[in-house]
Amino acid sequence: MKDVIVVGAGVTGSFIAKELSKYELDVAVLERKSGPGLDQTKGCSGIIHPLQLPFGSLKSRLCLKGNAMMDKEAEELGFTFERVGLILVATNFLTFLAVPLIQLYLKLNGVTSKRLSKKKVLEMVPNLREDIWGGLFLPTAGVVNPVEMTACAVRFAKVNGVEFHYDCEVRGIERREDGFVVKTTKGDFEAKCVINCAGLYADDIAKMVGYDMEITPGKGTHIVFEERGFSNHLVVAIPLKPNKRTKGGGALIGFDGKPIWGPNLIDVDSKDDTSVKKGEIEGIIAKFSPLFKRKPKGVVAFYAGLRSIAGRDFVINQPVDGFINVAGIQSPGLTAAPAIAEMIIGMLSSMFQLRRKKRVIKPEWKRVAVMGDEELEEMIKENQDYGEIVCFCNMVSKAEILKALEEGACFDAVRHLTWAGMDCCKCHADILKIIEEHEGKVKKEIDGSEIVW
Amino acid sequence: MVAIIGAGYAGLTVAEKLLEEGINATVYDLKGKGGELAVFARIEELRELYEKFIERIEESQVDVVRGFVASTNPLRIVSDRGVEVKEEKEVFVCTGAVDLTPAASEVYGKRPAGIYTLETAIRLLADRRRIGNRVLILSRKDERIIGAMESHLTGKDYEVEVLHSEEPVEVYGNKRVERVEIAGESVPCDTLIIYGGRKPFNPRKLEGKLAGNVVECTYDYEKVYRNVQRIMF
Repeated sequence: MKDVIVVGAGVTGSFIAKELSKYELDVAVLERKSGPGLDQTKGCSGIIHPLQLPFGSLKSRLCLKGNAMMDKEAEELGFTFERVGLILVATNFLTFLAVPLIQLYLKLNGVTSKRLSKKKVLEMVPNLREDIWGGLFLPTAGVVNPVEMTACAVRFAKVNGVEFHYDCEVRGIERREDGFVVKTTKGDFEAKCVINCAGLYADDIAKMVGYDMEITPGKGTHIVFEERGFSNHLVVAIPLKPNKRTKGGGALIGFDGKPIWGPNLIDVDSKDDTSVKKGEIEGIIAKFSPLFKRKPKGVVAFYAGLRSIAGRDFVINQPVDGFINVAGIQSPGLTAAPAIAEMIIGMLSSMFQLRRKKRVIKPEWKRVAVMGDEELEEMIKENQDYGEIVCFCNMVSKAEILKALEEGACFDAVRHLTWAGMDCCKCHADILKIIEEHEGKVKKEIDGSEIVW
Repeated sequence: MVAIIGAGYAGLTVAEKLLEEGINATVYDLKGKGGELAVFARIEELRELYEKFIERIEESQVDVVRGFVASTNPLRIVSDRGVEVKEEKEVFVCTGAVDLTPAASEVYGKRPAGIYTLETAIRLLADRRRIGNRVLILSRKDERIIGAMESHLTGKDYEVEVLHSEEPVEVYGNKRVERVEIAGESVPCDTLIIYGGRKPFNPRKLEGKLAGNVVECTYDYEKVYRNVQRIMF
């Protein structure tokens, strides 16, 4: 019998598993897709938020705490994280007058910011329109690659003893005297404790132990442009009236510097509805274009993610002894993930005699693209696959692709984790062939989504 | 020294022309000789269409150094031999073109398995991979390669439909493409091959004289040929 079973290998479940792996516990993670972070996590904007309103809410507190933890997490786990900062732009006289008030309000709630003159804003982002009034800079905002961040937590958890089971969908949970039997498409698992991190499907999992809740999907559409350097900071116009349900998206940048505009918020009926409509793309362009002198060049991709919404806040509770819900983790879930993991350890300490392991292993993960010549030379000497570059755009080697397959044996996991093929299609066939040689077939992200066979 | 980056049609032709003038250039390519023409050569219908260009590259005696050129000024080459750094006086960038992504080709809707750019489809088919059964080829630009691909797929027992249209398209399907909607019509298929045009493939922003398909961005090699002629002859 396991001590803990985590349902879901998104960013939340993976960070909890990572934290649990530091203790003397027997842990397994069950995931219905073929790799980590391929559902809600993959579809998010990749922003490490500087704050979340309303201050004092659970999600706000976990956001602030998670943001502060992120440098250490990135260093320990080896994922790319950059505090690029966010500029709140005053686009008219009214919002310009509000800037000092916003700054004071943020300061009272522990968020640092710096007022910027019009000249300074335009120096920082020359592509902004000349008729803006000024702004406020939030230096703690950052960007990550959400799947890389998740997979790095998985890698850490795995080398420290956590089992991961992919293509493993939970079908039912039975309560027993001493714990639970989790019934899955890959057999039964027994555990003393179950942590529900099933994202969009957390309501289905919660119902299995008799807890009634509802998760509604909120779609967020994004457009990714080609022009790196269009802006080096996240840009958001100060709204005249804040929306209670969404921060409203922005002219963002991705982990790799490409501009990402979005997301919007659209309530959809289906938990599979990640479709991108032409009107949505036009809406996003119409919303953010007025901020700039021109649009960024070249379109690379559209994507939509689904937020799992359970009311206004996160739902983290223990409705049944030994069963913990970590549900309704919508934005800023990515930012909050390390803080959520810490909170769960706190909740488990009443259930288990938690003992820290004497030694934890820190796995190595470094991208060829950021290696110096000497380091790369050494790596190639050890393993020639590091010298075989597959993706030109992001300089990704065959060795990295093979290594990524250990974390997720499918095309989307490899692409998002290594950054290979994220700019154009030139290397897609090569990536597919490498995966096929290794796995016998290639699926996109889940059983039934075969690309070549 | 002169470096030529890319050993496709343009790179090899430039190298030969320089050699005639007594200039010894080094040609670098990650995959050896031929560029995408070497891929086309493995599909009978494309081999026929590009015959004279394929013959040219097959006959070429130019030596190609295998490696990935990460930058120019200085030239940084990564390969299984390690990392080499060289000073080059003159560089020709012959890195070719790449298909526009589905999004840039106005493909909306979902992103299940079964959506391929023309280029990816060709590369997989050349390696005898099966990419589906019921294929819709949607072309935004009329080029002869589309007809050749239609015959190839038909000959390989695919059910094929070809549409030339500039209308936006929306993809439906959960795990695999199930249908697409275009101009108010629903087309059932499990595979969408999209050709929305090409753009220069020079992601490393290599600096030098651009020649061939990196300038022309086409599947029409007569144009590539003329570009190289203009530059070199």
